[in-house]
Amino acid sequence: MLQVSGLHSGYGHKTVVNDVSLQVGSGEVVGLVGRNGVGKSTLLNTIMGILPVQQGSILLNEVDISHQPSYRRSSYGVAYVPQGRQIFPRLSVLDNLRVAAIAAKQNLGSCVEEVLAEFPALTPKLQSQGGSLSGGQQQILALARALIIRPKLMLLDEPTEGVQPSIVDVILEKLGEINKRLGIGILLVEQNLEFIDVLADRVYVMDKGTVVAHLPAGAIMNDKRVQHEYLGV
Amino acid sequence: MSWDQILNLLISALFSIATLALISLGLAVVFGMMKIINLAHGEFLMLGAFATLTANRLGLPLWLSMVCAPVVVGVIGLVLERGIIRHLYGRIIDTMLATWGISLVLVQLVVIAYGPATQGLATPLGSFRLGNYSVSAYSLFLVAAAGGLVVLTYVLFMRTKYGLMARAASQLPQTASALGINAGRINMLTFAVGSALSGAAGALLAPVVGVVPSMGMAFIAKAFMTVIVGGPLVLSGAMSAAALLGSVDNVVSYLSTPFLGQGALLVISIVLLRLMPNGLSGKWRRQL
Amino acid sequence: MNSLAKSGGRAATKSTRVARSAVPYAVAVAALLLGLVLGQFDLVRLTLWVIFGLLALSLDWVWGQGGIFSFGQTAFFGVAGYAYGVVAINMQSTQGGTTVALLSAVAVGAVMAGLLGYFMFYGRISDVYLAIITLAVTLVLLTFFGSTADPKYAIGAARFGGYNGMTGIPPLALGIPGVFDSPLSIKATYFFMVIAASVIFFLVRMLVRAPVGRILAAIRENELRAELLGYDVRRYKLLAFIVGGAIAGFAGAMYAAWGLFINPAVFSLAQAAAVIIWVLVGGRGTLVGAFLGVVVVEGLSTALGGVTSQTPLILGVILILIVLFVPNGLVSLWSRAASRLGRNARSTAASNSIAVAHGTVDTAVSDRLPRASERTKTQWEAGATPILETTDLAISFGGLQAVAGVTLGFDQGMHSLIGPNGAGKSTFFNLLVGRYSPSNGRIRYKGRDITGLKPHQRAQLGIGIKLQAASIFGQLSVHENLWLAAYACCRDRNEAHAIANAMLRQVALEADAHRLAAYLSHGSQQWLEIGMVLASRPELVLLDEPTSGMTREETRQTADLVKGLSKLATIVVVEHDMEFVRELGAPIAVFHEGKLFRRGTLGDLRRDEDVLNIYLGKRSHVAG
Repeated sequence: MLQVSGLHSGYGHKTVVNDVSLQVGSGEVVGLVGRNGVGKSTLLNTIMGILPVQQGSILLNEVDISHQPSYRRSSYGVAYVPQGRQIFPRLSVLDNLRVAAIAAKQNLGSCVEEVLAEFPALTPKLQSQGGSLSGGQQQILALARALIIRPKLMLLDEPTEGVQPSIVDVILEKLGEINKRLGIGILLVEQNLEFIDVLADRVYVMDKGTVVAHLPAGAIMNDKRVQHEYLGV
Repeated sequence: MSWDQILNLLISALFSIATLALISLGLAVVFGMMKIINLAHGEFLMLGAFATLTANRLGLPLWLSMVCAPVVVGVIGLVLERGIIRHLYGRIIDTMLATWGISLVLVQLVVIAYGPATQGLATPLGSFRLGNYSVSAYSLFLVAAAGGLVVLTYVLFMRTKYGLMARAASQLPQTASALGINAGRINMLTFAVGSALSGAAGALLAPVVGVVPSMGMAFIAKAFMTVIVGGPLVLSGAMSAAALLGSVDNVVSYLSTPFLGQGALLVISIVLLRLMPNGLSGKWRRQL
Repeated sequence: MNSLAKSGGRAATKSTRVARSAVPYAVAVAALLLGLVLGQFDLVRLTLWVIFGLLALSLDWVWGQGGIFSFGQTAFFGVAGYAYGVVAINMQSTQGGTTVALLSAVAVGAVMAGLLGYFMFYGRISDVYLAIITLAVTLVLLTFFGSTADPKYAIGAARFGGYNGMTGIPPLALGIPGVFDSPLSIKATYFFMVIAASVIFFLVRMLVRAPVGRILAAIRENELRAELLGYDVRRYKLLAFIVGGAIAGFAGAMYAAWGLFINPAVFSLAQAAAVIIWVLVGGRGTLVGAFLGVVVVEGLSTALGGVTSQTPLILGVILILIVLFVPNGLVSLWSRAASRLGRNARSTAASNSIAVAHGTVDTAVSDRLPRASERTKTQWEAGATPILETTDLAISFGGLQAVAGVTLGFDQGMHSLIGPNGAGKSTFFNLLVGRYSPSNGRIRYKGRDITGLKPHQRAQLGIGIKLQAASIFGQLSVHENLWLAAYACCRDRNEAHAIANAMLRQVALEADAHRLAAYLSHGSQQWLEIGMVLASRPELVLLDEPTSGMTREETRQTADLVKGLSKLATIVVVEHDMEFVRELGAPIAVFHEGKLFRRGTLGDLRRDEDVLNIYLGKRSHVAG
């Protein structure tokens, strides 16, 4: 479903993502791990069009989206949950959801209602401003916001960072459920290896801008060499 | 003080506040939502005044001429955004300079078309007596109209789809893009809205001040001070600043001279900014 | 910028520099020659251009060198002009009265800049807001001076005159008996201006090359880095602003003396923007470009004025076109051409070569670093109390307790701070640095409470700081980066130069000494920054994820470098990379959920299941 080939990208003339190729099949959960600064977030930003492609290609369901402007990419069915959540701080929780629906030109009412049914924890907080929510609540909101457009693929960047353990459990459960019930493919960047271990079918390991290992599910927790060499554990 | 004196002072203060609010509203929208410093803002006001004048001369009743002004100026703003300003996003100083160039061109074009002299536009609605004082009915209308425009702006940004997208795009442009918001188109519309508001302000002020090509320059300083003192929130910030600065100017001028009124304005603004570098609304939690 | 990219980031070659320094002399000589040749009418206009050139120079100094974009130069120009008028008119009968007026005007310009600058820089106002405030001040002065039409607005015999302005201002008469006791003639005024402008120009150029100018350049390039090196950036900006105000004041006084008249039009938006246009057209940061910009723009205006009355229109169009197509100004075109002619034939390979950092510290470096308590005069004794300790340190961000009461002491030597993302170690680090203010708790350095100190004050006490993202002066050369770091501490030009050279060897960047720092590879930039931190001779070094983005090989070399450095200063490293921590072999403090979870050697912690589980995210760990 998602096919990234020979991708190079970065900031200005600097190249941070250096020849990355990976793929996510329909309905798969694929993990992406690596130390700080190796280019994981840069990769996700490039797939979403926030950073330009210097070389290589990105295919979504066989369609080449590498040079599409950022605002068009979501129409191909890819949703983004960025690092730090990126909740609109001055919009209410309800408006955070509504704006996603409007941006995707969906029928406003029903989409928002459906998503709220999935995440009832948000209902009491609908009128609160996004910026006043805790890290965990924001993460749930970000997740809900991504689901509004009924994506076929979700990109998640460190969803457990800065989130209290109880909510991490909720997110873990929810993601697994979304994947199984709705068949949504997930590309998951994480430092929390146990999270990856539970959810992912396969795991890519990145170091210094490129993919250095590709492991099956469960292997990451047992492969001490990979942990030492590439994850700094 | 007698009741009519108090009432007169109140109306006069409201008028000052309304004037400040009008001249800074368009600028607040453009600066608050897009972080663009539009040095041609004064000229948009001027164009609004001239559009009203022209429509009136062509036979339209005054109120209809005033409605034309925001439409005309909005379109002009749209064209300028498409042609020049959109190439300069993120380049703050270049935007300032380009808009200054635009202001020079606009003033000259109007001079060519209408001549440099001041044109009059009769103040409608006459006046009525309030105790010992004579109050211009138009000034009351202006206060109401200013309030109306503020409400209109609020509704536009808080209750429409465009408004929601515009607010999202101004808070987190990249995330908004990733969600599917076409920032380029939104910015174009926002600039047009800001221009239209300035045009409306110019139209409303036309009967009160002289309509002359250089009238923009008289407003721009106060407009900028109001927006800066107001801080990041487009409406609550700028309008609070207008209320504060307008009252100060009015009261001090009344008690002494307009000269000291100006001075007080300058001093208060600088002191406020020293104490609250991000403006009045820097730490407020409101949405707009 | 494009020419630099082509040359691989090499700073100006010798021939470019020679070509560039010749220009001011050529311009000055040409100006003097013109004075002999031209008639009175032309000289009057040229004098005005020289005055405007000085005004533009004041902005180029403040903006090009200091990075402070200000619309306020016309404010100082105008107010000084009025000041000259007031003093000169009232001292008309005194000999040398106009000279006193001139000096008063300069003082007024400087004081006004000082007041405005104090409000802005000490209030941490910058960039966009600063530009607008200066613009607004200028424009408010416009209405302010414009409302002085009533005769009662006068100081002594000098009436302000509202929008009509102040008239009857006497021309400059230097008041030196026998030689210059009568008002200067048109020709004499011109020569006086050219000479004065040349003197001021060369003074400014001297300032640019002196340590203060170099520090301003650093502040312009990366204010945070300059602050972390120990420079009080607010003070430097204020100083630069005052100098700019004085120069603008001088120009303003001469403007009044030249025109015998001044009115509020000097405060108009047109005039304020004109100054910026002159600097931009000539080339920001070139100094001589200020004068050239005036000549080109005003010359064009005059030429057009003779042909058409639509000058503002054409000027406006030209302005728009310049901004859209030639944003770097004319002098940059000139220097681009010159550099293409004189460029060295040497190959310009990108610096991706892996430098090899030394494990042992160069004696040239270690000799210059202070022993124990040499630098500060505290009673602190090594070993008695920890060099750095925190007591109950805490901070929350909007309800989230990022650091929740950490009591921790570091003895001399090397220490590692680890913990998974979100554990609070970076926030703790920023508290140590002073970028955040704690909501609770104290920090003590060598026994002294530094909780309330700002980062630059902590740096001055001997704390070296390196943040996670490589923060260096990208548009300055590698050598200059190190010089600035060294100078912050030793305050001696030559000493700093020697330390910088020693550091170059230490971090193996000698080959790149004159390359612009932005063009180094990521790993080299990190080393440069470590070198800069060391060059300021710290006793305590705080490093935040120094190996972020490095390869395995670079990480190993960094470990060697840091181990070498630990012999000279106490080092506290926040790290995420366990391999690096392993190579350092230092005692470790583990953070988890904003608290100190465990301390010990690597050996202890590796055997500790709980620690491992924190990293892997297992839920079964015992609450610490």
